[in-house]
Amino acid sequence: MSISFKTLDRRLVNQPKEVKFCKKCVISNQRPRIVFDDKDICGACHYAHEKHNLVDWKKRELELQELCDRYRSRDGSYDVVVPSSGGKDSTFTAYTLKHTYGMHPLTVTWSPFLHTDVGWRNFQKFIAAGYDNILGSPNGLLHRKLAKLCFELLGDAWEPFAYGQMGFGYQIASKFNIKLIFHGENGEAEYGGLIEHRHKASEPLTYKLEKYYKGSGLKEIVAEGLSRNIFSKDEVKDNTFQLYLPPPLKEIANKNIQMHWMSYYKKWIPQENYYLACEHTGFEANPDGRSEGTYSKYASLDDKLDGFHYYMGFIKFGIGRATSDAAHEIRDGHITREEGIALVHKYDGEFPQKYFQDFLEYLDINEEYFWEVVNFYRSLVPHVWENTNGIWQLKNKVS
Amino acid sequence: MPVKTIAILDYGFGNIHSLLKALNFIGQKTIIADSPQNIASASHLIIPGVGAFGDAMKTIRNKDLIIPIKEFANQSKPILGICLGMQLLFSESEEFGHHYGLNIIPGRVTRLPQPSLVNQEPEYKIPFIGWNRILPSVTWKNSILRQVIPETSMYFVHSYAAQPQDKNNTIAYASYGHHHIPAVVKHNNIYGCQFHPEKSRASGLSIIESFAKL
Amino acid sequence: MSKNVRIIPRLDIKSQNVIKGVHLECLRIVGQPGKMAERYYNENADEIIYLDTVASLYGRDNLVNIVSIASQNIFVPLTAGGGVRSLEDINKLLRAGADKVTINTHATKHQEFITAAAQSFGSQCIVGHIEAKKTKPDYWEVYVENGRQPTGLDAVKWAKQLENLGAGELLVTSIDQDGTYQGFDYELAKKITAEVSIPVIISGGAGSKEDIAKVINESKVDAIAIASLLHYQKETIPQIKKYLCL
Repeated sequence: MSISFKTLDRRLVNQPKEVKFCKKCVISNQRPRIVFDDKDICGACHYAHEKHNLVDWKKRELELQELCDRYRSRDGSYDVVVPSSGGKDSTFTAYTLKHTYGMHPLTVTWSPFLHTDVGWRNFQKFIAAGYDNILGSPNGLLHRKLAKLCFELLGDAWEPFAYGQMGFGYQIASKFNIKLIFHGENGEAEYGGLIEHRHKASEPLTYKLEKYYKGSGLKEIVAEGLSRNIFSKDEVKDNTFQLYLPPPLKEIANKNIQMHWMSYYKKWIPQENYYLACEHTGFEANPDGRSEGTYSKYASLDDKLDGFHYYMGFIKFGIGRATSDAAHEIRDGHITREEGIALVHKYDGEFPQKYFQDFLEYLDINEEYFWEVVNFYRSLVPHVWENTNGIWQLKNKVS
Repeated sequence: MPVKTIAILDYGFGNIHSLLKALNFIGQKTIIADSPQNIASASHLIIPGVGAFGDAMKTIRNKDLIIPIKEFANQSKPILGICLGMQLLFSESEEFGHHYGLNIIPGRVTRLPQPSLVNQEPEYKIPFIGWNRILPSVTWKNSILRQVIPETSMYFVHSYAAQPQDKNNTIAYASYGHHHIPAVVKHNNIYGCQFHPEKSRASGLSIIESFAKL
Repeated sequence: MSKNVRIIPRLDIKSQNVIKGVHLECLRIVGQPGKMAERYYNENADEIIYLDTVASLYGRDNLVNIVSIASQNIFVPLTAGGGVRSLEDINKLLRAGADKVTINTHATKHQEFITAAAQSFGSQCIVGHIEAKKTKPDYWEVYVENGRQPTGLDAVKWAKQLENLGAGELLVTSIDQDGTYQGFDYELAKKITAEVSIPVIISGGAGSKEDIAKVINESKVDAIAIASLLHYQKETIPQIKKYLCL
């Protein structure tokens, strides 16, 4: 049986056809938007050098101080939105704003697809540590359909989460008239991507909407869903997915809502965030030991479907979870490149078996279909994969 | 005056490195002795030991070291046996079966006595691993313990202990519950330390130093 | 006779550094193995423990080198472990200056290794290392590879099994308490010391000298291994010993 698939992930055709690995960390040039210099050193490593050696952090902290002084409410009303998952990074961000800078954060959570037990516990512990929180859960039925569509069309069922993670924060900020939104880190700068705004406190929303989301937006996905009768015309109207998207740009401009990155103001070290979270909220690392596909226990624990986001990254780019973890730990000096390589060889691409059944059930697909989609995406990147006697192998491994 | 050379017996059992470091620390020239020739040429012999009695004796036998060691003893040259090395000096042991030792000091090696219960807890555990104070059975003045203050703690690691046939061979003991276990034995110029002097801080080092000065 | 509990600094090693984490995760560099061991020796530590935390990635020579250098000026017992998989590994460590060797991962996959090691080197040389995490009320699971991999083994039963196989001592680390300063896993300490008759070293969670006194009083532990409390200098060994009248 052959199903013909289609992709709306427009990045894949533009991938560099020669796979190269950064000489300083372990990331490859397949990571979308990453920049490699002529010595094969990636932009994230350059940024890390700047971060650790050149940035005047005292000056940045003063800027944060001034920003907070300007926005701090006097009557206990919310003055900053902090998108939070209960994880280490948002805990650090919320804690810093509240306790170090005297702000009144409204933490805002865009629900994971399926909360893991430890994720839920950490989320509850976070709230219990003293934070107001609004949990946004999109329509369960539509969310699943979107995820299923995105799995095929974008090679990533996780994408609907990404939409809301950004959009919901703006929605709440607008509804409560809160002018400031604080995300944790500038992922592009920290992990390898567009470097234009790496020394800026924020980037325009228009920029984000244009450059990210795999070259397609929610609207295109919904349109495809309608044309395939996955959504009925009654189910989906213009404003059905309003929580996923930010309010109209005009509204944001009129209300003067700004998004800032904490990583601009405070040197961003995920491990240090972990330490703070452990101490402050009793954050619990993965009780099963290391997360599947990597060696680490402390990151991205809250969603049962997360493993598949990383796994599809491995399929499309040859970059698995261990590579991502090792890369930033190398840049922060926690591990050597040698160790990172050994860890990547050992764990990268490990299949996230634990929640596979949950994933299939959630998307309402069977295993056969799952592998057909996976192999479809593999076929789109022939410079990354080769098939020898029925066994798929990466053409290139970091060394 | 003959040149002093301390030989550490290397028969594959024991922490040679630690002893070397200890002797180095006190500024004493040392050689590793693993053949009849270099045992004979030494002025002092240290027999270290970590492991099982039976296996150790088997190895010593196979390397043809029994005669050289006994000859060394017969020439009244100083020998220091440490831990298992001390036990090997004796006649026999019951560890993992029945085994014959070097029989340089008459006596037997037996398992530490079963500890009694005090407040429902055993007085000690077997193997005994840890620090225990050593006390004089006789004066230490003319022995290698002369720089040690009585009741200093030394580091013991053992399940078995040697009991000299002649009680006068025991010059220091340690208390295990209400039992007195030989900690240091002396038979002419042959010494045995059940504990590890090379692991017992400065006091332990002083024992090695005193031995080297014999 | 008053209980002579041993106070043992635990130095987790990665490459050339001593590191420390929380729940055995997110490892920060805290110092150099040789220097730190010397400092603790001078402060009257009863023993020193070196654990190589990435041994499953690399060969064991790194640890052998560190032990070799560290044992230069340290004249108290040294226990070393991490990735010990063969009798040759043990021999190398002992000849480098270690007095005892810890075994964790390999024993869970090849139980007979403990017995072979005990017979070759003597039980007193072989320390069974258990990393335990409480996964249900009254139940702890054994983890390996520095807390990364669950094994499905019952930690208390495994402790007994290690004793039966020939281990002379146990080092029990609580993953839940490690690096938290929240105190030891007292229940774990009680359960394991009640189960075995060989000496037990408890590790993970010491936040104060009072915590140490508490675990000694409440369980039958024979020794305490301490990391964060000492490495971050919240207490010193002399302060702890004075408080415990040791």
